[in-house]
Amino acid sequence: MKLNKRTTVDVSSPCRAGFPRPGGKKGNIVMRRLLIQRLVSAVFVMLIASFLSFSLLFSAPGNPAETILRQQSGLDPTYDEIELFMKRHDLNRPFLVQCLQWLYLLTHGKLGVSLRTGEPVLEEFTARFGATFQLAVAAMALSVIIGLPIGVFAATRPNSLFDHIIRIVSLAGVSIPEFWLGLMLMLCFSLALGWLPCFGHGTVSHLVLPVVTLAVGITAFLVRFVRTNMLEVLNLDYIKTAKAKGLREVVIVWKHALKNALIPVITILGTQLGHLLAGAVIVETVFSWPGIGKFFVDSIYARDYPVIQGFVLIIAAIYVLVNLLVDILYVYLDPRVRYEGRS
Amino acid sequence: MYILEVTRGKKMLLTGSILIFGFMALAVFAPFIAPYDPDDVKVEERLLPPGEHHLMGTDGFGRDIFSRVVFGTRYSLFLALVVVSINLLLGLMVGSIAGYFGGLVDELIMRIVDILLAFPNIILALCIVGVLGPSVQNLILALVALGWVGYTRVSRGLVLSIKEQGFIGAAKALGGSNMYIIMRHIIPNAFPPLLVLATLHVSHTILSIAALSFLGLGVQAPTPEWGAMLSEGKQFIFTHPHVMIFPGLAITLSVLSFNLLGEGLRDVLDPRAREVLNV
Repeated sequence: MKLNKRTTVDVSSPCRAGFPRPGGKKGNIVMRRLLIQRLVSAVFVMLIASFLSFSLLFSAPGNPAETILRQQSGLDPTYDEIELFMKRHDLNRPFLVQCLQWLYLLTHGKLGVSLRTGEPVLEEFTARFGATFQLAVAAMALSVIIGLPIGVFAATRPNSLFDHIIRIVSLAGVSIPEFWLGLMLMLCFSLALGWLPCFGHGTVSHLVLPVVTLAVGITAFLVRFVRTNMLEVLNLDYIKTAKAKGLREVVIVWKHALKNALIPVITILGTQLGHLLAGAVIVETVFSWPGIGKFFVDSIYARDYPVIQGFVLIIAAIYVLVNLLVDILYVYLDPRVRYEGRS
Repeated sequence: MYILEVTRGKKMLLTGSILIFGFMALAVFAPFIAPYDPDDVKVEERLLPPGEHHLMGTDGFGRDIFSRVVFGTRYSLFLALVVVSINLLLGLMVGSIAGYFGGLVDELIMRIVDILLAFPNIILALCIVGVLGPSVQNLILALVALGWVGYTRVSRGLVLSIKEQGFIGAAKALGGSNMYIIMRHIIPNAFPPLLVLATLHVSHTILSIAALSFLGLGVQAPTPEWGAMLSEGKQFIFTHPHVMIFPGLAITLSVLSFNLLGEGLRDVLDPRAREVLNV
C-alpha cells in the first residue's frame, strides 16, 4: 500500500499537530495487527468448525447408507448392499482416517459427493446459492430502506406518539415467528386476495412474500437498534455545538448525527447475517424456494452426511468472512479504533 | 419500595409480567382450564371451525385446538426455561471463573468463547438435532451447545467490574477463600443484570424451539407443542386456516410478553448494568 511508505505527517492535511491523520503510520500498524489477529482467529474458527462438523456426524445414530439406499430404491436394503455402499463411499474406515482424508480433500477444494444426488457438494451449493443470495440481499435492502429512516425519525422525537407506536410495532415484529408469518402472509395475499403467487421462483412477484417475511424481523430489530444509537449520539456535545451554531435540524440529524450512529449499525448488520441465514432456512422451506436453506433441511431429513458437513462449513466460512469484512470496514470508518485498538 | 415505584412507571414491565403470569397459570392449571383431553382423537369431529363447543375449532384428527394450545404452554415455557437456566448457570460459572482468576485461565476460556461466538448458532443447532435425531434431549443439547457462551462473555465483564470494588478486598482481607468470594459475593452481584439477559433469551428460545419443531426436528408431532401443531396443520392451511392461526398467535403472544418483561427490566435497571448488556 502506498500509505505504508509515508513517514511524515502530510502538512497539507487539516489535522492539527499531535493528531496523526487517519491512515498514518501509527494507525496502520495498529490496523495491521488488528487485521492479522482477526485473520488468525478466522482460520482457527474454520479449522475447529470442520473438525466439529466431522466428529458430530460421526457420532450420529443410524446408518446413513441404509437410509440412502432405502430412499433410492424404496425397499429395505440387504446387508451386502449396505456393505458395498459403505465401501464405495469410504464410510467404514476409522474416524481419524476419515477425518484426515476429508481435511486432505478439503485443501484441494473437494467437499465430497452428495449421497442423494451423486453431484459434488460444492456444485450443489453454488447451483442454489444465487436464489438464497437474491432473497437475502433483497430482504436486507428492504430492511435498511424502511428501518433506518423510521429509527432515525423515532429518535428525533423520543416519547412522542409516533415513538410509542413504533416501539410497540417493532417489539411485535421481533416476536412473530418467521414460519408462521410466512404462512399467514400466504393466506392473506395469495389465497384471500389473490395478488401474489405463494410458491415458485422466477419473477419479481414470486420474490415479494418470502422477502417481506424475511425482512420483518430484521427491520424491527434495525429500527430499535438505530433508535437507541441515534438517541445516544444526539446527546453528545458536538450535536449541541451544531445546534448552538444554528444549523438546521435536518442537517444535524441526517448528516452529522447519522454518520456516527451508522457505525454500530454496520457492525450489527454483519451479525444479522446469521439471523438472515437461519431465517432463509425457514422461509425457503415454507415457500419452497429453491435455495441452499431448503436443500440443507432436505439433506438433514435424508441424513445426507457430505452435504450437511459441506454446507455447515461453507456457511461458517461465509459468516466468518463477512464478519471479517465488517471488522475491516469498522476500522476504516471509525478512526478512533485505529489508534486505541478495539477492546 | 423503590422497585414498586419504578414498576408503576414502567407499563411494559407490568404488561409483560401479567401476560407471563397468565401463561404460567395456563401451564399449571392446564387440566382444569382445557375443556377436552388434548390427545382425544375424534374422527367424526375433524376440522370443525371455531364455534360454541370448540373455542378454536378442531384439527385434522378432531382434537380440540384450544385444549392443545393450553397444554402446549407447558412444553414451550418449560423447555425454554430449562434451556435458558442451563445456559445462564453454565455461562455464569465459567464467566465468573474467567473474570475472577484472570491470566491464563481467562485467556483460554475467552479464546474458546470467541471461537464459539463466531458460529451462526441456529445452523449448528439445526445440524445437531438433524444428525443426532429429533428428540427433546437433543433439542435442549442443541440450544445449550452455543447458548452459554453469550452469558459467559457478559458475566466475565460484570465480574471484572465487581472484583475491583472495596467489599471484595475486604472479604479477601478477612480471609475468605476464592470459592467463598465467588459464590457469596461475585455471583449475587452479577446476577440481576444477567436475569434481564435471560428474560430476553427466553423469547429467543421459545422462537427457536417452535421453529425447530415446525421443521420436524424438535418436539415430535402428536405432542401438543405449538411448533409441532403448526407443522401438523400445515397441510390444511388453504382449506382450514383456523388450524394454523391459534398456535401461531400463542407463540407470538408468549414471545412478546417475555420481550416486554425483559425490556421493562432493562429500563428499571441502573444504567451501568445496561451498558454491559448492550455490548
